[in-house]
Amino acid sequence: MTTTQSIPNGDPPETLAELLDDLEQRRSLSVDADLTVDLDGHTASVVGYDDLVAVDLPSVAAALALYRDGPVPVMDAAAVLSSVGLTAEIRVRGAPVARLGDAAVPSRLARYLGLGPVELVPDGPLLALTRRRG
Amino acid sequence: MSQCMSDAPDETTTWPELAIGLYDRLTGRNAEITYEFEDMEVDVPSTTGEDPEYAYWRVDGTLTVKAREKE
Repeated sequence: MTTTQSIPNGDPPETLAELLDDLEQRRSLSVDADLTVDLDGHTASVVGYDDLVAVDLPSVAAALALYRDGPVPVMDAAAVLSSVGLTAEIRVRGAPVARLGDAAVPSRLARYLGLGPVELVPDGPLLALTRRRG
Repeated sequence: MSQCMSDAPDETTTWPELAIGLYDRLTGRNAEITYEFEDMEVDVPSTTGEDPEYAYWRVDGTLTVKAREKE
């Protein structure tokens, strides 16, 4: 994996804290996306609407697999999303189960679990379990 | 998409370094960049350390990213 660096403030960041400091001085991002992503056999849709990116997964198991096996820890991803003004809404069969990033309002449970800018939607998993694709 | 990959790339060893490099690529010229993926296959490492496990991802569709002013 290679990248070309053009960091205005010196060395590239090596820690999450340095990354967040760096991003704080930069502009927010806007994302327009219409993607289909196969995640180890789970097919997800990713749709971007400016500052909101909706990730719709086919099952609660797929959401848990992404949480557990994703390349970046969820708390770190949420902090980075927040620093560039983006919110990711995780959905299971169309039902929101969590929001990460800028517009997430951390619930008491999320704060208790130390999840950072992560909002859990309490009814989401139950709704997702009972919902069928139309 | 038009990206110059030839100016002295460095090995990326941490994901914060990767993230800021990606940010600069996306916004360095205040450009709007559109990526069109056609069944792009990626082995996503679980970590940037030694002996990572890899998840198989396949991506199809369009992604457009641009910078905007902070609110």
